[in-house]
Amino acid sequence: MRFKHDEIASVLTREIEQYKDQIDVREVGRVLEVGDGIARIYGLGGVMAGEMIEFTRTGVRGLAFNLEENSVGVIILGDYLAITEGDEVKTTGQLLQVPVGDAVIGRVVDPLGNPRDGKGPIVTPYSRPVESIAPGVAGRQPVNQPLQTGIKAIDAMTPIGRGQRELIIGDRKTGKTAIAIDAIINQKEEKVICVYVAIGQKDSTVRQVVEALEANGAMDYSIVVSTSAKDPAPLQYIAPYSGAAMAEYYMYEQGRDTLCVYDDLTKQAAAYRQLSLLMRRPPGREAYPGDVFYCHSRLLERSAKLAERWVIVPQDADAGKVTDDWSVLRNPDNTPKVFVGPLDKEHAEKHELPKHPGHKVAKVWNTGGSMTALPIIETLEGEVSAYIPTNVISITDGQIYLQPDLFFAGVRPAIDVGISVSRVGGKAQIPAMKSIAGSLRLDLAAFRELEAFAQLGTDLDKATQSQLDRGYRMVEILKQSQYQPMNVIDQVMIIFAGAKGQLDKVARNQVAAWEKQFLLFMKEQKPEIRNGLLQERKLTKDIEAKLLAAIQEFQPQFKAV
Amino acid sequence: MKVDGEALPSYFDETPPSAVLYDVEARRVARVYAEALLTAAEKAGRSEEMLEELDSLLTDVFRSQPDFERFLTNPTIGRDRKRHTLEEVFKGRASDLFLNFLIVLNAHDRLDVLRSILIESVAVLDELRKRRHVVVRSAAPLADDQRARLLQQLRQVMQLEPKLLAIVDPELIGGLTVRVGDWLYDASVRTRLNTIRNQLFASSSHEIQTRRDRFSSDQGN
Repeated sequence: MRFKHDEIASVLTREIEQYKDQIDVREVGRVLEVGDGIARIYGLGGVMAGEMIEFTRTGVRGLAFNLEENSVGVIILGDYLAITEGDEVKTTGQLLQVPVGDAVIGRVVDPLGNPRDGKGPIVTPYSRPVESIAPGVAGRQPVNQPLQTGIKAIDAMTPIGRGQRELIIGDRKTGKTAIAIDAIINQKEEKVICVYVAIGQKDSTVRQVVEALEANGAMDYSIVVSTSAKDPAPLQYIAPYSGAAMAEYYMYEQGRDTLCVYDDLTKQAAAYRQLSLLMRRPPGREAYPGDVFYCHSRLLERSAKLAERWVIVPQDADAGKVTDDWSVLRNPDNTPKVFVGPLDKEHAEKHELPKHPGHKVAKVWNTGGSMTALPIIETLEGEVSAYIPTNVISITDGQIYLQPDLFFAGVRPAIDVGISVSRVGGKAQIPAMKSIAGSLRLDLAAFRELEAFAQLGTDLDKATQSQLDRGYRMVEILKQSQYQPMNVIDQVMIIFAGAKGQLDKVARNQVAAWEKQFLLFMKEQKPEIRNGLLQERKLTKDIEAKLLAAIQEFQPQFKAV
Repeated sequence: MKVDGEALPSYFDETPPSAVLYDVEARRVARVYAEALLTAAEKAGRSEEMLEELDSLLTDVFRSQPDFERFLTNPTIGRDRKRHTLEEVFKGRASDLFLNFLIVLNAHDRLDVLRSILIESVAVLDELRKRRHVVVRSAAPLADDQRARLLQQLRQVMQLEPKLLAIVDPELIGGLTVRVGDWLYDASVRTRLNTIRNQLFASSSHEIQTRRDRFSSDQGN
């Protein structure tokens, strides 16, 4: 490629012509000491907490972290080895911001928004502050839409709603990241923007994740914020906040649904502990600083389902572009009348709309976005009562608990359905899934009680034996291989078959094959049932009967492998 | 560091030693003694002399005789012995007020905060005199009329009497910088060049990124 030098020269000349000379006024200080990602600054009397500062000589940026009587503690976001004692530091009057928007989609970036994938610079006019205040009570609405992870055990037993925070917790090597990646891959058809934040991971692991996402076409709607173990602690500490900021752009400004995976917050807490100790903040339990809870709670509180805003507009209005101003109703002070949240919408439809024939209730286009968070916590030897795990368990709306025993017994994903819970997701489940999930839960609970007996090898009565058989089949059904998320309708059909006892006669090691052939059969030969279910979203008497008949029809066709 | 050919007074170091900074307690104590010293000196109208003596003790005496400082700050040596030595050394050589001040410090075991007291005294005296230290760096020495104009401008802006410390710093290339407290007013050629350099980088790389076709021709690939 050849450059047109005259074009470049013209740009430079124009810049120089437009250069406005003005005295550069800045508040300055000097570096007293520097080490391990932090610096202590003398001066900067007017600096504000959280303000971004700049080391003038190297151009490296930092954040004012500790304001003390005679000095300012700064965390350095960049190469701290190039900074020396006596360097000049200046305030910038800005908060830390990251680039956001479509230019970041499909990219691997560091927590400051610099590209890490070698695909060139990120050019976007939009940016957002890394730290932002979570929406308040009035800005939210209850979780009402499911976030399908495509994992049977989760969508059936611990369903996640859009805007929920669901913790994934377990020992090392129990498949925590795999669940999150599957959930991201499954968002392909759901139009959910995904952000995967890797904190203090091995670079090779991050690379694997990116490859997996790329191979499954998931990078088209995903952002990877990557900090590896080699990055200084300040970057690891701010990574989840900047990932959240990138998702927030879509939630607040585009009204989109987003999913954030923080992998993992244990390491973020450790990075924060390192910073706090270097800053000489008093250590508390396990040497974590007193505000490590706030560190996580303010991050996870940013996940939300934002309230939808509804306005009454003429029938022919373009629903994709509606704004507040389009409302035909006015408040007494002449501001447009907006209905906020589901109750208000109902009111508008029942009482206001009849007064305005030829009109409709339409959603303001960029409202009702959501941010679902899947924080990950790694435990040591299953110790959930350690400091950080208990903190995050108490912040989140439920947890998915992964057991190494199950993992090695071949139950993968190794979700312990007994102690995994989802506190709000149930309301968001589709009715069809809700109706069968109940019996699934009962079957599994009964199974767990009896499982111990079965190991004694004693003779069991018929009823007990059948309950055990059912349980074994259900456990088999909930197994699922990696990178193969399943559509929720398929999930409903296979769990329905299991719950109705249609697999009781199938050998345990044949369940997976049965499932595969059955779903193929339903897709190719009985698409009308599948489509009916897709439309109705609930198991009507009619669909239930048809489904059962289809299963009976399939049974003789099953070929054991 | 040179100020118009003279050495910068030790109390106007832009980066005080970190030991002084960190010891918040010492600074608080020093403030009390500084205020006491200056109130006493003010009555006699000799505040400036006091400061000079204190500065001289720290720079001239302690620097050439570090053992003497170690002796004075050593807590294992008794107050009486120190007092005796102080009197022997300074009687007739220092003003009575200053010697008394040292003896009072000694009586309270506070000789170790002398450096902090100097820094605080300068601040206290500045407040008393309603003035402020201003460091002016310029590429070339300031002419007298420039200096006068600068002083007048500063007086107007600050509403305080500026106390100018002019430093010649050829690295600025041209122009000058004025520093008042933590604020730096930078009109140096060096900074201006840096600014325009960064602007050129930022804007032209942005232009190139957004409109690559404009800058390269397809021929010659």
